[in-house]
Amino acid sequence: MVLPPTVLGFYLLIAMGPNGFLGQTTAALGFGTLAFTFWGLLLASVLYSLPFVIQPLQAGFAALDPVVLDAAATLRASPLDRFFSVVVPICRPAFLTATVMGFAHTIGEFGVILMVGGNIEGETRVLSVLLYDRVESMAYTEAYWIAGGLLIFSFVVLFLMHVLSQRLARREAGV
Amino acid sequence: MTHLPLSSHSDELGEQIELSLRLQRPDFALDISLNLPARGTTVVFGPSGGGKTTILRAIAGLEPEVQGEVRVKGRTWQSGNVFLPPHARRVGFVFQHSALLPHLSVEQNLRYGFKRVQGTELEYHECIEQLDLQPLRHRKIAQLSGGERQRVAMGRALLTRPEVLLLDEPLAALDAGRRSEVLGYLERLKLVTPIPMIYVTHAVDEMSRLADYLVLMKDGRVRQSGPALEVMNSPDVPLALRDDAGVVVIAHVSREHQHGLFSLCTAMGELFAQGGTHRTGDRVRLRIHARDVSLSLSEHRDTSVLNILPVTVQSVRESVSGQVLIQLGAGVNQDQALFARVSHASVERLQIRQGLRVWAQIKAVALLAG
Repeated sequence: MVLPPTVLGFYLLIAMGPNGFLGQTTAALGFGTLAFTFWGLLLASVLYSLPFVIQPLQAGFAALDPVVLDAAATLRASPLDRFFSVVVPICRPAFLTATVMGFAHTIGEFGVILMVGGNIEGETRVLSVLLYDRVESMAYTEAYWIAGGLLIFSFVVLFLMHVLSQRLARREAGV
Repeated sequence: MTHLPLSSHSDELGEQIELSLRLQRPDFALDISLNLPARGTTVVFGPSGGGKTTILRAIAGLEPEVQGEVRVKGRTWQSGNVFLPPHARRVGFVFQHSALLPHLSVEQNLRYGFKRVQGTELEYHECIEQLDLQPLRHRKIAQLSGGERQRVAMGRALLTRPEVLLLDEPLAALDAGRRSEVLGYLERLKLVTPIPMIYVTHAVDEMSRLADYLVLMKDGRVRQSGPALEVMNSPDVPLALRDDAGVVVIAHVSREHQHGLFSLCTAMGELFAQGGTHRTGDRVRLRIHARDVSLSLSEHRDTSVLNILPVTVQSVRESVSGQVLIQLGAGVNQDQALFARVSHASVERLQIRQGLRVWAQIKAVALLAG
């Protein structure tokens, strides 16, 4: 999380390139190299946003009373059964937070994406890069629209998250 | 130890719960070997931190670090490399703090294990009725009182068709009122269900009321085990040293008098007791504390004490806080155990010694239901 995005992006680019271990692995498997492709971009984004997804999940799991899982086990639920019938429903707020955090964090990412994906139209040009691209080419009207859209989108996501977590908290309290 | 070798035991192997458990931790060691009857209620009694809960958790498979063997009614749950995971063991577990699934309703909690063992609706409704769970079914877990939670937890465990029901201090977290309410349900359960129960507690009244078989634990070891009345009424066990030492006696209500007084027919003769709502013919348990028994050389009739029995002194022992515990024999053959706790001065003044015939005045008889 403390790694500057461009640094992470740079190392990923090297790793995905024809001489990197990732690039050689994917090439050997017949997928070619991942640098400057959508799939490379996806992999880099997953890596980059993973901590923001894991943190809320970890906090959710830590708050789970282990005795409840013991109880489910003595009620004949296998470990997988316990995960889906106890852990997932009880940690639903954590899963929700993780999803939204991961999504919001990924959509706003710039450094890693520019490094790994570049700016290829129809392939790796994402909104944040497009915004930068329009500003660079002095197309300010378009830039306004993109920036405004992203701004509104962020507010909507925050608002929805707030409403959902409140509703979950209320259900938890049994009202 | 009253522990008998298997060959002389009347039970068949299939009717037993065989435990041999070891655990070594820096601050705690458990080392026990027990054959418990696979019927009735076994109470595991001892101070906190003595390893009682660990035994229950090991039987349920929740303590994989515990080494040893667990065999229930001839089926091996743990032995050497064999370790059945908890969900494959036919146990019901009632936890101290109920451990209900907080995201489910009462009904869903009850059905959680039930649908995994594919029980029948008949079983379900029988269980609901026995524990009076009908009015709670559609409530949320957060809306239940402590006592109601434990009733739901008991029902939930029973509905999984267990071969043994494990109860880990189910009343410890409840206030006095809720405690006696849930204790009543436990006694009812004891009467109607054939499922053997292993009940862990450090409360004397729960032990006295529920135990058919008793295991006394201390510091991870079994101090004594055997049929409950035998162990409870023996002067050699650690129980006799406690402040609340006493005997438990089985009695039948022989007559009801005015003002809530009963006559009770016991092995030590007729006793009077007060309280409760018992009817003639009811079988009850009585607890007589050593501190409530005093001795006199002649039969005093000019006293408020109702229960006065002729007894024979069988032994005189040191007890706690400079007092003396006197083991007495009561009844026709003077062989029904009774304890009295008196001061050294009294022993000297009355010249109490083995074989002396005296009168025991019993100031209080505690009625335990069941």
